[in-house]
Amino acid sequence: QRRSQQETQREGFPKQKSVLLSCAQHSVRPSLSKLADALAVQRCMVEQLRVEAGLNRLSVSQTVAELIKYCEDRSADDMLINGFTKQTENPFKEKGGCVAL
Amino acid sequence: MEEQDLTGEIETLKKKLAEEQGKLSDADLILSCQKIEPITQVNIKVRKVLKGHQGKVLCMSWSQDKRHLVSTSHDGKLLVWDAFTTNKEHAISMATTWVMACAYSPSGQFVACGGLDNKCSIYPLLEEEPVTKKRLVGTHTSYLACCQFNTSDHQVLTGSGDSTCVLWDVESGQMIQSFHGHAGDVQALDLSPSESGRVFVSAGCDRAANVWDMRSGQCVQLFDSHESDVNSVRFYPSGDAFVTGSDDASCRLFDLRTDREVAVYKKESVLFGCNAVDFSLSGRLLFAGYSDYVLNVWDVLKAKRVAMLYGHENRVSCLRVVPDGTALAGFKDSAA
Repeated sequence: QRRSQQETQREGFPKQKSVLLSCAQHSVRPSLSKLADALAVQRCMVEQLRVEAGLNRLSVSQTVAELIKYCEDRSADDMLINGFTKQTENPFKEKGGCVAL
Repeated sequence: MEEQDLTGEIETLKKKLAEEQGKLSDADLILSCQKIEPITQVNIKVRKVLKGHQGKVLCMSWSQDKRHLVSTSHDGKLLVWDAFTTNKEHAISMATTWVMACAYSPSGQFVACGGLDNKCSIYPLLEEEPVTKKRLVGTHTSYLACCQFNTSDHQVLTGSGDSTCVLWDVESGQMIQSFHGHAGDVQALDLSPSESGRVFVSAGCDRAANVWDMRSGQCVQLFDSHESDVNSVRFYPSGDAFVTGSDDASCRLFDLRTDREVAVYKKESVLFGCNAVDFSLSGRLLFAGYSDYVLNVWDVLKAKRVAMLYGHENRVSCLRVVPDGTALAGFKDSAA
């Protein structure tokens, strides 16, 4: 059973779950009617969707090929996959030797 | 009536977006990677333990010198460590508790942090008593959840429980740009490694990850396929994609140029929320810390888990790979 969101919240910082529509909050004065609020929110949404629709997108096949190439080009240098060739190069390794008492 | 016209246009635009995304969906990341050699084992050992925090460690940040790191905890302490020797170089007691955000400046001379005080403050590490030379960078109307320096020591980007992100000028304390669009608390942000100073991604309790144009303040892309709060976000090292970690127990990889989710990292046996994510240097490994005390290591290209790292007695709250990829630091309740 997945832990409920409330349980997770009790352990960690209590995150608020406000569902304010930021568009309405920042563009409409509180004294206007509900209808005007709804219109402002819709105008905001249309603007946002227009921006998103205008985006230049590439195909998945193209970007996946580039992701794979990026990984493969750098895999030899990735210490967390390969480890260090010589442990003496590892700055986090415990230093051996004697301790003066 | 204007309302009907707007509703109509919203529907048309949404359909157009769905069609466009459908047309470009001509491949699958996992299928395309079937011929790639799998990662058979990961040799990662706990080398150092950084003990010193009394309370839950909430945030950490590596210095660009790949050796020092800063961590902050829920009891208001900020500690600066030398990770090679495990020595604590600075200990600062803040006036607030729940310090959820901290960042090392690019020069290594400052740390920025904040939390329940709603403020982002900066401390100069070269001073004898950094706490006396504290400077206020900016204030939100709710808690500070995350912060990062924007390419230099002069600008800081913050994300807050008030659902906004703001770019501040450190010297004047002025707001350079604000970013409105999240419908819930912002939990995490990350600056693009390839579009420095121009693009960043933020994620929050509205289950969404938003990609922003820093100059205009416009949200240019929105990804909302998670089923619960998104706690952590990190760009893929190339800057072309980013990964998110969520309370829905999954991590997801979103590609910016195709504008869609390309992979989901989840398993039936992984039930707890993911709080922290980071990539290895090549982007092949995804490290994800969860609320059930485990750090799962995922093969990014095959979406398979390759290792589980233990060594933690409580939930992993934050983790970061050092800038040159040689090590990984993960903080849980009181030690790394």
